[in-house]
Amino acid sequence: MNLSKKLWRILTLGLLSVTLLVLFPFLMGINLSGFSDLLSSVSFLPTLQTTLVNAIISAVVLVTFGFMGALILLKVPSFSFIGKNLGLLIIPITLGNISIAFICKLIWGDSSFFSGIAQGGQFNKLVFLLLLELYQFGLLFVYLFWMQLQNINVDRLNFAIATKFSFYQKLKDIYLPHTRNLWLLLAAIAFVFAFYEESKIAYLFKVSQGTNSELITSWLTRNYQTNLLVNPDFARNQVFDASTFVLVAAIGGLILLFLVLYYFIKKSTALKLYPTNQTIGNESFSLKKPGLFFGLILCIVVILPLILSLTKVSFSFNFSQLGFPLLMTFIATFASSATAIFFGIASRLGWKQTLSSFSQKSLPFFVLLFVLLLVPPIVILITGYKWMSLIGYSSQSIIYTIWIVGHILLTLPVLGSFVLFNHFRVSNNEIDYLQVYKLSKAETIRFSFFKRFKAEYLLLFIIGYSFIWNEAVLNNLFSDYIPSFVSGMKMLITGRGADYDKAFGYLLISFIVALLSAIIWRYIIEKAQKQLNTEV
Amino acid sequence: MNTQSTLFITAISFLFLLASCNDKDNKITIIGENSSSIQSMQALQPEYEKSSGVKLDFKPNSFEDAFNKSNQDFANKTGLYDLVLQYNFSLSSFVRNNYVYKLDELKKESSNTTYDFESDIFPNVWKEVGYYYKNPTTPNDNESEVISYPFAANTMMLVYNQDLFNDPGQKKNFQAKYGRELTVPTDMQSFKQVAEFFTQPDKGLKGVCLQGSTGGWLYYEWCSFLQGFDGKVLDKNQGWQGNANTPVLLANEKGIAATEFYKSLRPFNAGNFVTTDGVEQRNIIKKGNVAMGIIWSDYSWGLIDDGNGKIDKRFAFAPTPGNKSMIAGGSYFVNKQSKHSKEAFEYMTYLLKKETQVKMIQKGLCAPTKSAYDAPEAQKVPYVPALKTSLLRAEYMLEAGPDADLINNVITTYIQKIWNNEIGVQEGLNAAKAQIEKERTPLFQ
Repeated sequence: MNLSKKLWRILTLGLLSVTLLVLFPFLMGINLSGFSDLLSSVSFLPTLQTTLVNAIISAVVLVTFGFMGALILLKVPSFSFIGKNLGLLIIPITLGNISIAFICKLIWGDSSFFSGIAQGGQFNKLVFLLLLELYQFGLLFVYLFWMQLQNINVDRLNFAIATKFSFYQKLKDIYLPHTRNLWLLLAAIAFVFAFYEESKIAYLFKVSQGTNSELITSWLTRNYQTNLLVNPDFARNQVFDASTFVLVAAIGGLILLFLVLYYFIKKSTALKLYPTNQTIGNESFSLKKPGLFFGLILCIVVILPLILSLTKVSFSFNFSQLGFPLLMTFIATFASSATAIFFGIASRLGWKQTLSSFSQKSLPFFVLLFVLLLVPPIVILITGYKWMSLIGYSSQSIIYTIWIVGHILLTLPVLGSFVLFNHFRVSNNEIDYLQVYKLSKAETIRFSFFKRFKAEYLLLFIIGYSFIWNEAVLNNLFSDYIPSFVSGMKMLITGRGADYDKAFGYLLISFIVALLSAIIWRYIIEKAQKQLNTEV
Repeated sequence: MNTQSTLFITAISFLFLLASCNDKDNKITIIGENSSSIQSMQALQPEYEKSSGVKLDFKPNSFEDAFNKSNQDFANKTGLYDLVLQYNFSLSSFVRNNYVYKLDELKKESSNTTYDFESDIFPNVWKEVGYYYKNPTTPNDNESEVISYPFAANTMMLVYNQDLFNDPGQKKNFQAKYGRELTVPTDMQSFKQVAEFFTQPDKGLKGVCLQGSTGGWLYYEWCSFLQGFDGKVLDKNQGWQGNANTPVLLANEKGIAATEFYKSLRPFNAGNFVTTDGVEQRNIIKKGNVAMGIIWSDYSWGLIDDGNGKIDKRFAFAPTPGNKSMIAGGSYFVNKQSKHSKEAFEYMTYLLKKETQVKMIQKGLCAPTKSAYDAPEAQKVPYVPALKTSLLRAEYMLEAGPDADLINNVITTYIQKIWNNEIGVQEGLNAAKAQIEKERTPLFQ
């Protein structure tokens, strides 16, 4: 192993170790003696089982929806009016859980449809939740798959046209293999967010054991609150024991999902079976018009709920409370994105073969990277309090610094894996070539990464901004010092101080941020397109 | 480095430099649920800061966050909050774990010598939300001591829509149907009768809006009905009392009668029972299509206040049906890690003075002192007369020991199942009793 590779590996592992260090108080607090009580609990295992099954189904449905949607949009050119505005599909994810739940409540809260779901069984509620997740994550997935499909090598496509590939052949031999890594990345992200879903279902349906609607995050929170009345140490020990079990189940679920999808795609693309020898002409299977129509529908679907909710309340803006957190979020996103990019470059150069794609070999690396995301949020909150009791709240600047560092570490799994996924496009041959010519590290990074992935890094920043803005654990921990959007919204839509009009004013600020992100993204894409046209 | 990067880094450095300038003033940090109680304190902040020279730093949070943050602050001994506003079920944990100063300890530190307001505090409320066992390790029901002063005295009240009750057509129809005058219900049977009468699907009207959601809403409301039937969950005299052997009375004939009555209101109920919490109930009642609701006193301000200083006069208030009301509310707790315990105590005594209490009532506080309710300014608040009557007759009803949340969750679970016809009343209450008996024991060890 050469020195350079060793250095990259040390840097990557160092960053991963620091990230996992967050969990130190948790690991030290695990006491396996409570497991028997846990297993004898009437509700723990059934709730965990429901959560796991729901997360796996949600992940598969969301990622399939994303891929299918992208296939319908396939023929929509990126420079067309619809193509340029498809960036609007990133808006739902930038709104976050609590805002989407609130919008849903405003629009449908009084309807008999919603009433039917609320009074119905667990299945109805989980299906409704899945619909909300299709809006929140599914639309983004459509966009990411569509962008990925737009990057297919033109020669490959021309070859497919020249040899009159059927749609099935293209799907099997071009589209699926080309998007395999994205399938796995997005499925993992969808799984994690579905597994620890709480805000939407808790706010909309007031989940309870009585209605059999609890998911594991609610179960953990409820039991923690119950035990807090004995004392916080007892409550912490109990929740750590249960969380260990939950963490193992989440890791198992993620590995299972990964392997099932990996082998499904591998087997599907390796099949020599073609159901028909008849090739379907491109003309007869042109998706251009339906694609444009579908794209238009999706853009309307993104915006319509926001417009409808505007008619339900009277509101006013109040920027004074959120100006500071908006600025702090900007700084934290800048730092988090830079760290994720550095992590992505270091790991790509450090494990050239292993991290050239998502595969069985790279699976342990990604599971390790995702561990922090797979830990129950309540554990992160409790360990956060523990860390702060050790570090202290002595000055505001220390609190701000810890808040930023915390976000860097908490966002690393998602942002880091997103960067790494993009860096798969830097081929091993290219890395070898640059090494042969003894290019310096700075030059390698500049040529192979910075110049090539400018747009992807901007998208990373936008997604990172929304994750940090809508993050519920760390922001809640520090909300007395850095006002938190999520904590503020929670206070305005639940509890004694609830005020829907003020809450909507709050939400609009978040919406403006989301819209600005979409506009900036559109501008960058348009600029890149113009540059490309000029070069051509 | 280009100019933009330099400017960016300079701006961030400046921000952190500003932040590092510590505020070393004499400051009390106060945490509590964002409610009319803390908002009424905030309204008087400039006045107090000016007169005392002490700065007040309010940290209003959602209930869950305020609960977690104060507990973590106590457990980790970080001393972030000097004054904690928490409800009665936290008292037991705070005292047993030695997290807070007792009132006697604070009095010794203070230069104050007179505490006239103490005789003005509702004694039943104070005994329920501010007292605890003198020796928590060997609890004796006859030996208790005062721990803290109450910040609010809450209870549940009946709210009714005056427009509907005063409608001549409705009055006439009620008289024709039941042979008596339409009046605000004072007992359970008339409550049900009125709820039934106002359930008029052709006019889109419903008789009542009940709180059936998790998070304590169903439990507290159901307990209000149980109290109306003279029942109890556990056999004791104060919420904070009890041990692992305290008998569970939940499934006796009074519990069964109360639950059957509660379930019989189902045809007259507005909203999605299992998703209706205090906020949703308030929103439903505000629409004007519901005749009555049993509402928390500290939600009453939000119901009548339109946010612009105007009072919504459609709604009027009365004590809950039956001859008893329940006690809730909470206390001011001074953190043992606080560096400003003396200032915090003096601030508490300022808040409990009659003139301060009168001002706070006008900002939504359910005051824990009696005489403040009689002030002419306070009497202008529509729910004040009903609130005072309720508090004067209020008794223990809600659990406040280490098993309080467990009992709340188990009862909510089974009443929801009973409401949804998944289980019978007797069977459901028996199952709840068995689960409570089994699971509360470890919480007392």
